[in-house]
Amino acid sequence: MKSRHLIAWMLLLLATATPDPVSDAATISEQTSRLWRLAAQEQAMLDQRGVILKNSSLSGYLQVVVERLWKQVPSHLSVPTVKIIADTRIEAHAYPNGVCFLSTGMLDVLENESQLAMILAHEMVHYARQHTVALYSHFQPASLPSDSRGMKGGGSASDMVMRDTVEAAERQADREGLAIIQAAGYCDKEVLPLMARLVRCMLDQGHPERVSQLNKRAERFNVLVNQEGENRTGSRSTGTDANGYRDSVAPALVANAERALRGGDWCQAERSINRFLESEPLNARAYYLKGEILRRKNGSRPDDACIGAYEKALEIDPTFQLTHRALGELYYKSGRYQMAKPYFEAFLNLAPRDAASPFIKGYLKQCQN
Amino acid sequence: MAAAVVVLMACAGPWQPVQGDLASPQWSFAAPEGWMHLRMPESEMLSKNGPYLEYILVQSRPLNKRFRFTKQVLDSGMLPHEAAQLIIDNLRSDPRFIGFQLLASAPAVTADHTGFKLTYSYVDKYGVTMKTIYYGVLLPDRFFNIRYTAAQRYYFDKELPTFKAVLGSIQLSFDSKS
Repeated sequence: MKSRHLIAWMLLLLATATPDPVSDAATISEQTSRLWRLAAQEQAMLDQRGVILKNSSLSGYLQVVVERLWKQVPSHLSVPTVKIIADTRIEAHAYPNGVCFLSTGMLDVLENESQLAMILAHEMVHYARQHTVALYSHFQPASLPSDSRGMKGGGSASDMVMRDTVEAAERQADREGLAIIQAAGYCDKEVLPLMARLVRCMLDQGHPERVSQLNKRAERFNVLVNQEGENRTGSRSTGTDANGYRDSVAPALVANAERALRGGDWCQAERSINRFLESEPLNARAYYLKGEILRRKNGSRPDDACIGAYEKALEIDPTFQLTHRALGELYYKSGRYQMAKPYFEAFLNLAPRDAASPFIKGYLKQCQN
Repeated sequence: MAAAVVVLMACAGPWQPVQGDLASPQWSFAAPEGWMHLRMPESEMLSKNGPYLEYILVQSRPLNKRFRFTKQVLDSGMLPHEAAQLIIDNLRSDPRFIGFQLLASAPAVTADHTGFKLTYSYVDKYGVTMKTIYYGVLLPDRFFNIRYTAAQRYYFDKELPTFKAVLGSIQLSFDSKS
């Protein structure tokens, strides 16, 4: 879990905290139940927003990795589950009820299964250690140092204590997460290029404020990996096959491209769709999306690459209606009505009830005049 | 919607009762009697029972102005359907809209300009299902839009005829500039 997400959760929980908690087992159990309920509510909200990517092969793949890692975690809690959010931001976080969320942006940043394992293992430690619950209990008013009481969520002293505690939880998740991937047979050295890649992507996405924290983590990982390397004798590791990983997360790549296209992030969209096409070079929808990205990137002025992508989509699947519409629009806008006409006609034949049909009928009339 | 209303009101004067037609350098229309209006630099909001229940928003914005939830920009060479798609993309990316549903998208004429009409619904942060009709037209250097948003239950149908009257009366004053 990103520390800012953990902090946001803590502030939310403290803002709604009961005033006089009793620190006995019953109360802690009550707090756990409350946190789990809140987690379930927030997850239901995400479901309602329609941002959860539902793909059985991708979910199955992620769950296999989770179970391989979870075998190395000494915990009585049930196996965590992973859900994917269609979001280009690089996000991963675990809820106290064991549901881990990864964004499509995060899956796109990762290069192989070992890197994925590190992200998942880090989140698993938060879950296994019930960090959110522990932090919540710790920051109940009765647990705070006397000079911090009454400053709940607002005072600088309590803020600093909270940040330090959250930072300690993050360090623990990194340290124990690394041990989990090592025990599960993944390549621990992959955490170093992972950190470097995250830094680059944070800069690309306009988040320089997150870079210093990532650099500190990279330094710690560097020490840990080298220490382990000295102690290790001939251990074998797996999970460095970049192509295998890319193929397994392909549904997330195309979803990420669609999200980036919607958000007007052409570079990200192009990167994601190109990576997807390396996995599925005969996917008509992906070529159509590539054409769309290139068309919109060029301010709707067609170029050979854009037309080439659309034509490739039609070559793969001549019945893919959106490509007919896109080519029709391109020719229509450039005044080549006779070239546009057959594409519009094909689109209307293939998708008479598409939401865009009323527009296309209007353009077609113009072509016939 | 609540956030949109707050943002819009942040740089606005007070709500005023509607008296006669409303005119600005950019547009004029017959304002409904008994409604209140709020004038902002590039938009005008009208409401009868409060903007959390229903409102009409008339707005014009420079074509190259960025949208809040997409980096895509409009350009005057876009087809109406392409402009509509950009607006839909922006709406779909708005995290405050839960369960956004596009109900219809069609060509439409607003104040003698060809554009598009969108109909959509969403659930706001209070759990209320809102419904919107959104008309947009691309002008040479501006994007003009007028929308009617109301709680789907009861209010939407009730004030729809009022919106249609406002829409039918609207005249744009951009033409001399374009």
